[in-house]
Amino acid sequence: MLQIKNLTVKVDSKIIIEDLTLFIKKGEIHVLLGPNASGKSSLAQTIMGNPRYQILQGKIWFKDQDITRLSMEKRAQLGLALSFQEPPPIKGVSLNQILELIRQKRGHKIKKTKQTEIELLEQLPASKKLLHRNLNERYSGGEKKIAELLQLSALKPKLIIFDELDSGLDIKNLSRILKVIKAQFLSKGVSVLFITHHGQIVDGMQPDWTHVMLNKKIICNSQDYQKVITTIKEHGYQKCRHCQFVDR
Amino acid sequence: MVTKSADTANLWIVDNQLRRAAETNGVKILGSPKAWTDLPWTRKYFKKQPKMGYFVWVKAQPSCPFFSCVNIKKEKTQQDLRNLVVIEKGLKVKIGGVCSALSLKLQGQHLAQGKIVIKQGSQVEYEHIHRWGQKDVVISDYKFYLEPDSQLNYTYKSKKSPQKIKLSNKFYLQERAKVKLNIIGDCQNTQFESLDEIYLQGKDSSGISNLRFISRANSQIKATSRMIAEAAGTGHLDCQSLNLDSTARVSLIPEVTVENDQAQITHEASIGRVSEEQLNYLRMRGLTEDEAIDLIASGFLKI
Repeated sequence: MLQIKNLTVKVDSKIIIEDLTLFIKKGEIHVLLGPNASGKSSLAQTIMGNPRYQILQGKIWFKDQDITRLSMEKRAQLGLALSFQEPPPIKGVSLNQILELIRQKRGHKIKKTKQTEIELLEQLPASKKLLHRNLNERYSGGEKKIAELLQLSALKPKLIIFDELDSGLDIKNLSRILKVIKAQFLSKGVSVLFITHHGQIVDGMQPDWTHVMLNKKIICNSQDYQKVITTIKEHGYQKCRHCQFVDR
Repeated sequence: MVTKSADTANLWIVDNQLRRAAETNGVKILGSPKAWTDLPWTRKYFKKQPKMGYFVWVKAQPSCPFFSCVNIKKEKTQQDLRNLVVIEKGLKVKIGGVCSALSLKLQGQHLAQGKIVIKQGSQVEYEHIHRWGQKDVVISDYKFYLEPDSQLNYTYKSKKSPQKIKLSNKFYLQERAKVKLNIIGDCQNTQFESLDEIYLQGKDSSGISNLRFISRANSQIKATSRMIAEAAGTGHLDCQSLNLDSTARVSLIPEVTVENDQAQITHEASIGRVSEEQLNYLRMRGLTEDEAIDLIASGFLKI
């Protein structure tokens, strides 16, 4: 589904990702762990094609297509989606308006996608009024995530990157949102990459692969999430460099 | 807010011809020259005998909104309108007006001078839309008189700006009168000059002025928003522009004059460009760059 090979990326004149390789297959759940400023969110922005992130070396393929130079909108149309940690407020544009536009652009059956959104809203701690409010403007932490989920649902993606899904959420709301993610995306074979600096959000989810990113590089890939998270909890991220347990 | 088809307009002027003046319940509608002749009391507002324009007299509570439509259809038409709207006491009135060119390159000239008198306790919602061709010239000069306890929400939208436009809107507020003014302009290849002045003449009168401009290629915008507090009133001026092109030039000037030490007036102004963060966010939702910019711009113009 997604293949990243030997990727090196800079922003302005600073290298922020170095020689990074990552493979995500259809329907897999991946977790990318790492401390703040290790390059995790930069990787998400690079995968989505943000032009600020300049690829110096390496390639990205999605669904067997080289997307290294593809525009952001074309990547979205192919089925790549990002749930933002801090989505920007957009004045005068309602959540409903952007959902309508996404539906039109994706050419989905409007009645069906609208129904899915209504069902989603019913499962989440949000009022239908949220649909008519300006996008991301003065939203609570939970409302931000709900708005992102609704847009992702309308996008009908093949692979979703959740950037710090748990930020601004209490445990109860996080658990409700994870339930929706499982029902709406994971059960339908959508591949998911969770980016997080602490791993609790995927507890009970049995990720297929766990990666640790430190100082611009993925330094560890493991199929045993519990071992990785235990190592990090016990020794901290810096110990990952010399970890005896995880697979290299 | 109201229907905007000329077919259903209460009042319809094409070039320099009054095509329709359809009176409705509680509303008298005449051409300005006829009002001058038949209703001598209107002369104090017109000053001199008008040749073209309209007179609307809302005498009793109307059952539906009032809608006017002024068009330029022939090439190089010069309109010189003198308009008068009088709203009697204690009424709630919705007014919609469209002034437009019926094709893009008519090189018309639209000059409109008007007075709107809102009598004691009346509440008026007025939406005025301009849609002009690329070669038209527009000069619009309106004065609004708000008697005690009256309220006006006035929204002016320039949806397609002409080559040159000069707007002047002045508001005179007596005791406890309130005005909310929204001036919205989407400008491309245009020279747009706007002056609005709100005079707080009565105690506890209040005014809000919101200016929003989108400045596209080759637009020059100069907008002055002025609040003059002669009495103990309150007010706020908010001037904002979003620049979409490096050739655009924008000058926004909020100006406050306070002549009464009990008055409280505030102001703000900003001129900026589309945020990269917003643009990228929308593009990651599948919108093209142009679609994303249009969406951000349309949202910016909403007040």
